[in-house]
Amino acid sequence: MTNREIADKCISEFKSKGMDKSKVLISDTEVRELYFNNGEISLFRTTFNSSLQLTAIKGGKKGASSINKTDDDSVHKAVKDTVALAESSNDEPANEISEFQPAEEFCAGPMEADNERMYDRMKEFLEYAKKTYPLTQLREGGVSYNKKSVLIKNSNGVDYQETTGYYQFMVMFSSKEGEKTSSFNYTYKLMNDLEEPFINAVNLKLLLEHSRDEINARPFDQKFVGEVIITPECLGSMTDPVLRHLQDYAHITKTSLFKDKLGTKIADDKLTVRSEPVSEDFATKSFFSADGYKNENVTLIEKGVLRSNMLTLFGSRKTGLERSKTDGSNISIDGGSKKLDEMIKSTKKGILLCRFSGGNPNDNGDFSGIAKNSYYIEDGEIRYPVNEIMVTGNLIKMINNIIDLSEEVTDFGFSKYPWMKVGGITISGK
Amino acid sequence: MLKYDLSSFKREFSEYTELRVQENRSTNITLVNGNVMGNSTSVKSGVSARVNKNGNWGFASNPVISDESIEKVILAATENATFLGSKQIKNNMKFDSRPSEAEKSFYSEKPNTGTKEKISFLKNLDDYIAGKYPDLTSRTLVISGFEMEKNIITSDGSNSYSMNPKYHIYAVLSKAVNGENYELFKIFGDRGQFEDVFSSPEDLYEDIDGAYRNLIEKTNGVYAEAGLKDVILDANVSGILAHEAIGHTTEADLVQGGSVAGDLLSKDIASPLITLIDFAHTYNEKTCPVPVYIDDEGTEAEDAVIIDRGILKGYMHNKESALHFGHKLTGNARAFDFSDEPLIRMRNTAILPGSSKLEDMIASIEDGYYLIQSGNGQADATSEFMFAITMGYEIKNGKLGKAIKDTTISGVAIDVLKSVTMVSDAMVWECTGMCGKKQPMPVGAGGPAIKCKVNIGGK
Repeated sequence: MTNREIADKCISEFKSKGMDKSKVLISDTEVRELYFNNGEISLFRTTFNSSLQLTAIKGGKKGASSINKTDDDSVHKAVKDTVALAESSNDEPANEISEFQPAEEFCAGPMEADNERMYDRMKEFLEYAKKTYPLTQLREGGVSYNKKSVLIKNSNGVDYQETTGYYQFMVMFSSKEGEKTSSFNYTYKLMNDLEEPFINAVNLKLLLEHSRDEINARPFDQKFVGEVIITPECLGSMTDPVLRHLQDYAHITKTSLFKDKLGTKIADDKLTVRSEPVSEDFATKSFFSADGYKNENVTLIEKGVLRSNMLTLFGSRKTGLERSKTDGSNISIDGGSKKLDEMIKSTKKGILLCRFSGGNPNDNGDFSGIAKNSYYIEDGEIRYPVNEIMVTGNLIKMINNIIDLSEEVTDFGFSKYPWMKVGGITISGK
Repeated sequence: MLKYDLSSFKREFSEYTELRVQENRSTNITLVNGNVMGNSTSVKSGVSARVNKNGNWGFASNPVISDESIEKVILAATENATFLGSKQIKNNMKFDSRPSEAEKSFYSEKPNTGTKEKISFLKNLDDYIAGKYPDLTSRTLVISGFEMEKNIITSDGSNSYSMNPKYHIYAVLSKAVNGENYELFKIFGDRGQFEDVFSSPEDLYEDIDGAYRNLIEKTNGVYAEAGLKDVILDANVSGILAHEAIGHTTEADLVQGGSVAGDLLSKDIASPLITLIDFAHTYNEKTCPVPVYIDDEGTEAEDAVIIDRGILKGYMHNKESALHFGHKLTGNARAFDFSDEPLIRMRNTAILPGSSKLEDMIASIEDGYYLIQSGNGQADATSEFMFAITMGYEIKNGKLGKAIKDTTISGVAIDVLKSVTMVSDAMVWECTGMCGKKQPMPVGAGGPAIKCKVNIGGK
């Protein structure tokens, strides 16, 4: 039976069991992964999986279940279990499925893995890095080929299918000399092909050079309020918590810091944030949402003004706010007008924040954590790598206190970030 | 129940082979302000094989569990190891072996609690909170259940079956004061299925009252003063210290990757008051939160003594790292999903209790903090760790003062553990979260209250 036939059968069974509405999402995944440990390729892994996600609604009562089987018996049982979950649930008028839209099929990225090329690129990288950065230990990482085929159908006639493929490279490393060790660091890149050597991916060369220098990181003993230049590798971890305030949970619980702020200024003029799930500029694509709507590229924050929340169908119905036209994938922040070098030169006293290891910010946006793999900047120059240094601030104040964004933007394949310089951050050592 | 006799497939093994049939099940019911916002289950199962041929690992998995698919998966894993072997020559790995046979299941013997009853349980709790504390901005209650069932057979003679469940209820209370939001969460739960962990919502009322009091204190809380401070880490918090600060640093794959622990074996790395053990399955004749009797490489699991009275004694190992270091196997190889290969993971990592009384510990601090609830954490090769603090108090002149706002603490594990001057006599275990290291993994952590010096974030 094809996935489409399985989906039709589920929808028909839901109907016969008295469900008013139903949604079926079936996916098949293939992963081929070459993994290395301590600088040596150690494992070749091939995995196949499927997923059947069922949603049924009766009145306002909803049940949802997922299994990774598509044989007749398993599917039949999953339908029965989903119906039982719906019947045991409570009335929630916000539960709904997407309305009819014309059927479409989408395809993007490589459809077959090139095992030989994956191996050759991996080996090339490991040999280059070992030779060029002898103090750096390539702890773990690898390259994988990921292919996914997803079909979504619902009882309103929605029928979307996408097949996407991409390669992913990831490396984690630290450096060691004698008994001195640097903090681990890592980076990753998603790609549609293996044309470019991995060493050229993102800012990897710079990170490996930094790792070597960080063996001699010094404990920090000052405390001041200063400027922080956040690297592209770190920026997502600082801005993702901001974007969570645009999502369902924050709005439904009325804890969103951007409640009633649509169309108003919430950040510095320099900040523009986009979610572009179907942009050709990204290696990964997401053509439709799990709700069953075709995705569009959306500007979330434009020159500091909030243009869109990131609400699902449920979140939209629950809050009365507009449903987002994006599922929130492929996030990018626009670059600015300054070169990174100029941003460093104009910094009186601060740090280059390369990795943030911290607690989840609280509901007010307050955050604190360790600045990892980071550098002390004084009088326009990077002075030395630091450790045991904490940064404390507030996310909302931070995005309203952007001093500069770099011209240079780093493409991770599923996100794009520049360097961002912000002020008003408390920087404290021991 | 997914019990599968794999013994007949041993004939298909041509190299060192591990064969696993596994099912992970999860349940999630979410109530927000009394409305059911999530009511779902997930079941993921399949078969996987890992083969080592001439030093190269091959792994394959398939969601279909049948005699035919199992044979195919063994073949595919062997072919993957052969593919790597065609590209690179490695030394054959002669692993040490401690095979065993065991069947350990924690299925409840009580009647199954249905979804409707679980929703009623949450509703009762929510009604209690809504009725008693109408000033809250929002209430979120979540039942989160996770069960991991595994059948493993290995070419060196192990054959095991296990079913490890854990069930938790998460309560998140929010309150807005002067335009600022404050949140406090409280987690209830333990190893076991729902029926064995929870009896009645009324049992949780007292702790909910305590959580509400904490939240109110937090709304009047102050920022911690940033810097190196004397603190008491409550018993609820020291488990995460054991896990993040020392646990990760002494996983043998991280040691091989350059962690500081590599140069410190047999050396003094902590106060003599500190003994830290990664327990396999039993402590003080009681089953630990995440018992592992045979690991996913088929090794009979044993306790791994990491620190004994301040001295670093050993690491946590899988077969490959034990071979590399020439150490004894510990049985720490664990895989999360059927489609995951086993990695070195902690099991039940705990600092052992001492003899001090908590009240004496607090009284001994002139200017510091008492930290009673933690959030997420992270470790590093340098042993520099951090974790979030979501509830704590100032200590002024030996007495508890104002509550503090959410913050983060950090330190270099060795410095922090050397600064320990008091360890309490009472110990707390927990298994709430998942540890993240390529794959998620349920882990247990425990410890007593500890007096030490850490770096605290703040103003």
